[in-house]
Amino acid sequence: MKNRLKVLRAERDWTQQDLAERLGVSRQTVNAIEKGKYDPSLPVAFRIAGVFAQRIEEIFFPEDA
Amino acid sequence: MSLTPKQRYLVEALGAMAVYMAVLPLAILAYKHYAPTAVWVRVLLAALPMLPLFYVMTAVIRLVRRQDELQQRIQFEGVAFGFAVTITFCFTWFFLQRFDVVPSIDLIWVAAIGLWAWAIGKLLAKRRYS
Repeated sequence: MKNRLKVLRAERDWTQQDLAERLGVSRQTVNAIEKGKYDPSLPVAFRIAGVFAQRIEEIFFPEDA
Repeated sequence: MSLTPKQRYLVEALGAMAVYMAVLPLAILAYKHYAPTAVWVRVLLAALPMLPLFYVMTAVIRLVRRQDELQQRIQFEGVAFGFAVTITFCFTWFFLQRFDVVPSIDLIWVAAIGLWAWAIGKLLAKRRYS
């Protein structure tokens, strides 16, 4: 799954650590999600959507999209 | 100052290991000095160093429960790798022993191999997600 996490984070001038603290996960987890190496669970995806005030499908989308 | 799950684990585990390092020689000295014949005393002395190790075991469980979902997955993949390697080692050694190729070894080697395989499995899993 692809995502716009890095772009959204950069727009807010947040570090990975800043975002990790807002989401209640480790920095390594934010890094893995940004690189597309790990797809978060639905609860974490909802927290990400909440932090960026966007819908999940505006942040995450399939590889072939 | 709030500690990360890993830091809290290290504090707990290192504290318990310090107790272990203190209790182990005491148990060995007591056994050699008094040479107790009663089985229950020998069991007590042998089990004494296990108390701090039991605390380390619970610290590992607390660590995993405090970690986030990706860290828990990495732990799981590490444990799965460690388990597979240890079981493979045990079966291989068992058959080699039955065919008189290798000698009988202490069970502690199984623990040592399990711990190392777990650590290597965790490193491999960590690399996958970084």
